[in-house]
Amino acid sequence: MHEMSIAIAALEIMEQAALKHSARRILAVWIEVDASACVEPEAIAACFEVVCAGGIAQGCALHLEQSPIRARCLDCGHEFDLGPGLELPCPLCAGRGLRLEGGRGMVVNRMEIEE
Amino acid sequence: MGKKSIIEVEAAVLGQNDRLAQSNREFFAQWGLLVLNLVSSPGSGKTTLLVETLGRLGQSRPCAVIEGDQETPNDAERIRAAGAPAFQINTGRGCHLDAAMVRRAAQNLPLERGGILFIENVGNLICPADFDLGEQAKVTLLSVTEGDDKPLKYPHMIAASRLMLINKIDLLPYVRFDPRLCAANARKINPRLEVLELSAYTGEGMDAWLEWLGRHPGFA
Repeated sequence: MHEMSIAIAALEIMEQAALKHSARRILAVWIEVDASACVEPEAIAACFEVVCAGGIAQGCALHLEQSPIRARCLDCGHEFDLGPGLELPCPLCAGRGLRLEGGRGMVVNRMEIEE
Repeated sequence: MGKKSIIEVEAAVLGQNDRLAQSNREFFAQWGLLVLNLVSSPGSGKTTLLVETLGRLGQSRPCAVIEGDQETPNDAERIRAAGAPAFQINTGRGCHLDAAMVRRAAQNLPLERGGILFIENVGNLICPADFDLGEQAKVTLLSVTEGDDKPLKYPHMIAASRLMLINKIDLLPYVRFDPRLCAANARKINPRLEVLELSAYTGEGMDAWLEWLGRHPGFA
């Protein structure tokens, strides 16, 4: 269950940001997950609820934003967006060799807080 | 009720692990070590591969091993019996090693300049893909009893790997597994992946693996 480690890491970032902004509660968070990150949104949501319980983020609304990752075809150089699963022929030349252009992984983008 | 507001955070969730992994990389570079993160499903033969590899390398290149398992010190004991220092990490409920665990383990091992540090990750082809340990390369081990479509089922790990080892080829007469199809499936995801076939048990193909290790001198 590495979703649990990820939920804990996300909560640590949120708590640090909340402290910096003197927030009393975290009401909502927007987390971006790109296709290179190997996480299951439903599992993240379940773990997130558990790790937030009892703290300033208890009951916080989790908004997961799934983003694609850029891929570059090694045959024709065409760049396109790749979804989860990572296996897709190039839409232009059907080439199978793809290079993934560095995704952002998982990012805590913003939060709604109560001061 | 206090005032509500939206704040921008823009922080990578695994940023802390990634920073520690980068620090590990610098630490390993000081020692000129080759550091390999060995990943597979449970039971693909990682520990047997390591034991046989250590036996063949002998005194030619100093090795140390970090063993990751949910429970038991068994694997570290097998490595020590093969003559190399080993540090066992038990992750309990955790399904992967992270950069902090590897740093602690590395500091507890007698490392030698120019040697090899093998990190045997927890048997799992999903979670370890997301956690950089500061290694030079991930090496995925598959065995022929697992199905030649496995690379397509676990694309994230294949995408993150430099080398794929197909183990237990001595069992090929008894299973429906096509190593060439397996390699082709893996290269659909990672066209630059290197693939070697071997049997750690009979020793077939081990020379090519040792030759691969020889071609990778370590962090400069």
